[in-house]
Amino acid sequence: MPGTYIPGTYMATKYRVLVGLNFPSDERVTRRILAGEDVPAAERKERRLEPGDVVDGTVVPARTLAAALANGWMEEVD
Amino acid sequence: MVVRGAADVASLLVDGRDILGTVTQLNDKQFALTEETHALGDAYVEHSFTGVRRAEITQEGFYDDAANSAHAALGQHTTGSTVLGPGNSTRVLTYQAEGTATGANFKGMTAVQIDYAVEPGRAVFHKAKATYWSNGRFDQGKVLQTFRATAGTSAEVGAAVQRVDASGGAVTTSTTGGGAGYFQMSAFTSAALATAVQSRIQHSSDNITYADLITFTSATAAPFAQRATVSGGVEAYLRANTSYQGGASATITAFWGFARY
Repeated sequence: MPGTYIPGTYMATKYRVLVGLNFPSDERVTRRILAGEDVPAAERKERRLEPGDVVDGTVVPARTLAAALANGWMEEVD
Repeated sequence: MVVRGAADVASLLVDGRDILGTVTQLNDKQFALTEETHALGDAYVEHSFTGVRRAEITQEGFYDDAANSAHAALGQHTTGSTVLGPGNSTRVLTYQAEGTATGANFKGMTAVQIDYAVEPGRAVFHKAKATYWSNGRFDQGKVLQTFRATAGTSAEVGAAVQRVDASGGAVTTSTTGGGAGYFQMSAFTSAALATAVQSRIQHSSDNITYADLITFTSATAAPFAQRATVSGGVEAYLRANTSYQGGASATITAFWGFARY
């Protein structure tokens, strides 16, 4: 499981960004979008990841991680 | 019925040059190339579509020799080794005939400029005309950001444009045929040592996570224009996205659009 926490042996799974990505860095913004609100761009508080960046699940929200892996926009790093 | 008029024409851009203010008439025609297929014994002419299409746009208006205006865009001259004017087969042309709204239709193509006519006359302002033929596919797509000056922030993010079906209803499914994206920039003013504009078109399946779909060539000066195609899946949501290189912010005057295939 990506980012699984095993007590005493925390080993966050790493992911390599394959395609430039933007996503809201604030979960409250994500909730507003999911509720159907048309959130203005200036309020999205986005974070950007560039191709080649290696990140773990603490950087990328679970929803974005799932979407990125499903679409081939990120890959798991051994 | 939605009736459109001259005031709805929001932009006419050729290779990043804004020439709308010089033009009084646009003629946008699309042709199906046919061949006569009647044979001996037939009493009437018959035609069959060959499967090949062509688009033609002609413009009429005023002669204008201001910097980066119509004459600079369309007259025969060279910039370095690049020949501009008639014969240039890589013109990037877009126009918005249905207003400025994000998600409105626009048309665009890579074009061959066929001619350019300057017409001085007695007791009238000089006039100018030009004709373009499509050099490849003629696109009709959606405006991702209307032609305007940006706010000058460090990262310009456009509003989302959701895919619509044939009846205009919003849908959340992707398309699979790729498409063509357009970026036209008529002005670039650095506010904090920005040396280049990195423009992108992004797509998303949920309007939350956006991935780069098209990354245009980094532009260091205006005018700049590029049409770029992609193959494969295009998610339901599209938007323009820009960042600046070398500095924190800049102001650009630009247009983004995308046509799904």
